[in-house]
Amino acid sequence: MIVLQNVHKTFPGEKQPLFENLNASLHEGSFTGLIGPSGSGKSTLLRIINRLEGIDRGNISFRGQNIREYPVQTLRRQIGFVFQQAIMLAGTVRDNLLLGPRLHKQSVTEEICVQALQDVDLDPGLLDHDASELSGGQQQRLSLLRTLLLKPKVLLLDEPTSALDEHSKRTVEQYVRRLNREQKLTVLWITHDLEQLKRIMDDYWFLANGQLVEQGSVEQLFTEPKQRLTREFVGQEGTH
Amino acid sequence: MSILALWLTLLFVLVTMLLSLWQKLRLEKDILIAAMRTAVQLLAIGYILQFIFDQEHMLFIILILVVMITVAAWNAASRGKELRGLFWRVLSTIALTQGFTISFMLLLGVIEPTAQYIIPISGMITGNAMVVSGLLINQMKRSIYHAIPEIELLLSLGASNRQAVHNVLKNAVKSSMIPTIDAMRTVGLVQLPGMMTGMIIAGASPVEAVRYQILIMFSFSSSAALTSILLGMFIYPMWFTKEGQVQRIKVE
Ligand SMILES: Nc1ncnc2c1ncn2[C@@H]1O[C@H](COP(=O)(O)OP(=O)(O)O)[C@@H](O)[C@H]1O
Ligand SMILES: [Mg+2]
Repeated sequence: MIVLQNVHKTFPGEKQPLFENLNASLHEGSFTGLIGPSGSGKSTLLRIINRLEGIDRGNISFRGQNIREYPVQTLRRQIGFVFQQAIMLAGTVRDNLLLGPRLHKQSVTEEICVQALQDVDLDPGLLDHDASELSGGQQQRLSLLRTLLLKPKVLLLDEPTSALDEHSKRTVEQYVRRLNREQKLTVLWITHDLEQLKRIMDDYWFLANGQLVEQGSVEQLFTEPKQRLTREFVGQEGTH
Repeated sequence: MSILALWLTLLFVLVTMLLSLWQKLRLEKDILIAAMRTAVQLLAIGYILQFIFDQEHMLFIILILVVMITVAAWNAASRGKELRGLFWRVLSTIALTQGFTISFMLLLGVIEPTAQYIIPISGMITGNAMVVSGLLINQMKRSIYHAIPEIELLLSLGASNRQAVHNVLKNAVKSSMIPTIDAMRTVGLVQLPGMMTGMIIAGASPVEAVRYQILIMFSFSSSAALTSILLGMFIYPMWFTKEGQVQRIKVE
């Protein structure tokens, strides 16, 4: 579904490259956790796939075609991206929920809005509230719904449950898992929570030192990580 | 005013320089140069205008307008040196605004198609368009930089560049028009506009002077709106790469 080959990225003005010869692949319908030390470039990698950030060299393809060959708007609608920071525009919860469809002159029924909120344990009564009044966790769920309303084929999530309590976290995990199973939604999810990785994800990408050190099934990560770096990372994270 | 009286006005410059010396502002040299420039530039333009008024030839009028608009565009575009190609966009904007406003006045017959009317009125409209352009450029630099998360959110939802900056652009246009609207509100109460003062001193009746001032104020409002909307449309693409990414153009 998404293939990255020999990706190089250096931010302007930086001496050290962030990515050097990064290779990775994501098959259709997979559910992958993206892990790695902080600062390893997880967020930047998602931005690159969404074309919010360019690369210096290498090739990234989506469904067999270079992402740069797609009209960028089409690509971004098919590859949904939920930022780590939930950004609310001025207006009501409904205004924020319908941001995507309104950009594309699509109408969405009231039932769909209500259903969407219920799916992630948000009270549909909030629809007419000012979005800025929502708690961080509520905003985070709303920004997930906002992206999903565009019916993307791939979903990129940057720590989408970081502001959620345990209960809502499980709700969101199960909701996304269900979309993955039922609609073959391909998911790439940044997490620093190895318990969460074990709980819901099938595969993992481990990013460190500018490269995708290892990718494989989550089961394998905990039983037989191939690389020393990966073993160390799993060991460290496991201890707290 | 006699030539002798003109020379005596130099005393004002002398006073300024003495104040600067006394307060150790170290501005004497700057003041002297600025004063000399004022005198030379204004005297030159005075003689040039006299010459053009005597000739009354369209070619000279156009030449003067071109110089005026170029200088104004240069000045306004200096607010955004990081933006390559800004000058041409500002130049086109000011030229279009100017062309539209003056044509409209001529068409309605509120001014006569002579150098005596066209040049001073164009000068004022160009000056206003220059100020509005400078404000808009500054405002857009600042607000786009601060709104990058919002813009990227919209882009990630498949917005076009235009849709992604729509709100930011609207607010920048609005705030660049505020000084013009404020001036309309307080004109005559806080200060008498230079043009009106000049006409009155030169012997026109205050009522006649006021008529022209009203014309100027009203045309300022439309030319400010036109300038900021046109310029906004011309320059927002400069913040995006060909790949559809927002550029982080730093604000000092
Ligand atoms: N626009 C940028 N310009 C320069 N450096 C950046 C930029 N964005 C991110 N970085 C740097 O790239 C590195 C990776 O950041 P990020 O992708 O946020 O990592 P992670 O999400 O894994 O914590 C960090 O060192 C960060 O400082
Ligand atoms: Mg991050």
